Amino acid sequence: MYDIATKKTTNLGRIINYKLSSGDISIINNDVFYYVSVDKNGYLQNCLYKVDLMSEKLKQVQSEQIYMSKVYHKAVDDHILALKAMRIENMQTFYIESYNTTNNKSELLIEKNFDRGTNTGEYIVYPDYSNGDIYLLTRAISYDRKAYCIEVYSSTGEIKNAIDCSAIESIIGDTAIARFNVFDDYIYIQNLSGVATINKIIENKIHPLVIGTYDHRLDIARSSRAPQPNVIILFFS
Amino acid sequence: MRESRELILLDTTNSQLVYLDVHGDKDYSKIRYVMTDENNMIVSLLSDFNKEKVYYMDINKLLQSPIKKETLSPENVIYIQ
Repeated sequence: MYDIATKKTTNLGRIINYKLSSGDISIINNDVFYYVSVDKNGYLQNCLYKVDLMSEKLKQVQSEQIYMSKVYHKAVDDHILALKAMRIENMQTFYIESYNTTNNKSELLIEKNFDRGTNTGEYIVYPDYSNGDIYLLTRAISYDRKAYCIEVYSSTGEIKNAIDCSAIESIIGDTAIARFNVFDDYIYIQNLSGVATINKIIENKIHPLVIGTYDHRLDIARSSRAPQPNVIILFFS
Repeated sequence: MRESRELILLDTTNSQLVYLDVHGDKDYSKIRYVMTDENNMIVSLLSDFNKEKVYYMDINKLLQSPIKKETLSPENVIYIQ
């Protein structure tokens, strides 16, 4: 840990066999949480770590084997919302777990099922949280159709709304999604090729305003702390 | 960090998109503030720039025709404050 004011570096601890991380961090009071996939006898074990900024210690607070190498997560009050998945034979279940950092208990809030055998079903692509609601970018795939949708849920997991994403299907394409951020009525989506759009929600549909391409990326500077600032910076590079 | 020259501020409270034309600005040190996450930093970034290079974008115009970097210019898209 590096203290900008004192320029002091502190060794917090060590993660053995570190393999992957989504790069997301959740900041709750004086604690910084992040998920890391570590190698355990050839299998990926997913671990939640906490850095206590007061005691300057790193601690593992959760460890489990899931079918998700990178866990995307957001801080919501004293909870962490995390996108996880498990797989039983061909059926893969994507779910949003709410982890209570006060009592260390987890609760399953929302789930979607996808059949890897037929390649049909629905899965959660990326979660975000804005103004007290959970926003999920989802993808439904049937034999003749693929469609992104943004589903809006209450913080306890009740569905409230569904937002049509057909206007960006041709922009984002089939490339996997790298970022999904919600700011009030605005949605930022970026795929792994760097193609991105900032969109406005109008009457339950998203409409692209600015488009970044592979050659001219449209990136975003976003705070790790909640709530988000009202002014967001996008930049072309 | 890659050098970037076109910045867009999105103010979600009043639905305003602001385009900062920083082409020709030699002092790129200001752009480092983009990487910070403090709201007041972002606001101060805006005030640092020459007012002649700050343009408020017309969202209704963008809804009709989304803009890309190639078409992002004061003459092309922007409603000038």
